[in-house]
Amino acid sequence: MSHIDEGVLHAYLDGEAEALIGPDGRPADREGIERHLAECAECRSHLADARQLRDRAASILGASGPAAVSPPPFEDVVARSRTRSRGRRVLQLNRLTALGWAAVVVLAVGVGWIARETVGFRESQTVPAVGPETAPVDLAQAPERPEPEPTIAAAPAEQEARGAATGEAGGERRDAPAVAKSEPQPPGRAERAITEDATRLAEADEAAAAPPEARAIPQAAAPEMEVAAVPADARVAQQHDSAERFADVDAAEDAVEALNRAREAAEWTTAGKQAAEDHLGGPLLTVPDLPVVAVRIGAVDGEPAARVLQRLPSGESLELLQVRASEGARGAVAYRRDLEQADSAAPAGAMASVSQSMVVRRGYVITGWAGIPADSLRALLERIQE
Amino acid sequence: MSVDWAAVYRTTFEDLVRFLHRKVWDADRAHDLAQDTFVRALDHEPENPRAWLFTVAANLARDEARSAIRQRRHLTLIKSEEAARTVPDPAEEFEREQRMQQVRRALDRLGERDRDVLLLWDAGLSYADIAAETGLAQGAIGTTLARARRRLAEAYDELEGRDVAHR
Repeated sequence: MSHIDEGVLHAYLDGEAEALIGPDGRPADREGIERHLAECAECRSHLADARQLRDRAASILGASGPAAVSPPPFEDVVARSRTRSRGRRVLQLNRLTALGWAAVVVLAVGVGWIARETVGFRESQTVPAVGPETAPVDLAQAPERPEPEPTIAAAPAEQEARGAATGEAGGERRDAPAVAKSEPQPPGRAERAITEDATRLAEADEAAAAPPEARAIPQAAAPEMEVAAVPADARVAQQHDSAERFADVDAAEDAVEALNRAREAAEWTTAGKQAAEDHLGGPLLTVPDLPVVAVRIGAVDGEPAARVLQRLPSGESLELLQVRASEGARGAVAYRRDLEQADSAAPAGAMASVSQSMVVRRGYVITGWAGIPADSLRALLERIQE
Repeated sequence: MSVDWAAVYRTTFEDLVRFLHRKVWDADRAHDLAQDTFVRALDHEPENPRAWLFTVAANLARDEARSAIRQRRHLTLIKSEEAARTVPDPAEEFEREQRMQQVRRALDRLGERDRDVLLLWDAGLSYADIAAETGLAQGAIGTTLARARRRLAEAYDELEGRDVAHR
């Protein structure tokens, strides 16, 4: 007699036996399992083991849940959903409006272009390059020519000139031809630019409206008009500058992230103040006048570290992580400070419920976490003595 | 098919928060993400609400993990009267956090599929919904759960033994 598979036993315990397909290809049935269990002591023993394992896993997972879950009123969620729907409808309407305007402009330019072709505008346009005396006759009859976007047209030429003067590459538009004013504008240039702007608007709207799982990462492409307005050498300098800034930011973010990960991954042991100072090889730094509730020691990236829990007068907890300051950690502190400055300009509603801040004291990085506003946490950490 | 969303909300919100909490390991974030998931659900009105909610919640948690540092908190928080902060005992809070980290490390030792199946089951999804969510055959869920439970218990016990030895 074949015994019941462990997976089937777990499914049986979970009340899901009917959802299983038995080894014979037919749906497993609860009565069949129970009949077998009644006859087979070995399977009953396996069932007891499976039940124990299931309860143990549930108990372990239960220990990791949030302390209490209090759902906000359903009406609030409904209200948020309505607001979101209205926002999406407005975005869709904006997108349609933008596309509508783009279509109208494209149509108008297209009609103008055809009309120009019809009255021989192309021939008359080349005349000024030869001599002005032949121009007035045709131009007077021709429809007015759309202005050929002077900033875009002029920019490559300027770039070429600057590139030649400075010996630099002259920006990424070297391959773009310099368009002389007297040359005919390539057809569809203006309408392409307008359509692209409309498309960008529409894409931006779409990106804002899309769910996170469907949202594409926006590409950092500067709009054409803005690129043309910035001198090429200044633009190259800006690109270098921002590239370095982003490199710094990434490195600092990585350092902050690494610190957080290390803190979570480390093994921590309860210790007294003296043991912690021995472990750190220096003073255990705390916020003065706040009672210390617990001290734990461990290591972060191989460096001795200590975690201290202090109680704030409000009853909130303040957690401190003290670890010797490496270069990376110093960078992380500086970056964190920048972030906090930026955050302090944000409205109060955007504040995180648990703030994080960092200071460097006596060669240690002290990171603090507390459920208080970020500026209050910063002020608290500043009180840690040098 | 008309869905009684108030009932779904009442019966699923807590499960969703617990599920999200084990993904983002931050109670407030889990709470916010659960709300955001429901806001999206009301917007989409999916046919199978529970499975849809957990799928979207898992995606939101994944996004959250990817941009944990870079992302500023952008969700509008809805604070209920009940959510008014009660002051936890700091020592208890510290111990609770330690236990949570232990469970997190134990879960990290599981394979991704085992972990997903275990957390989805713990969140209250049926085998059929778990199969739909993970792409596993329905008949394989019991076996996967059995393995995941064993590995979780073993990893947790091992970590706890080590922690006790450290003390």
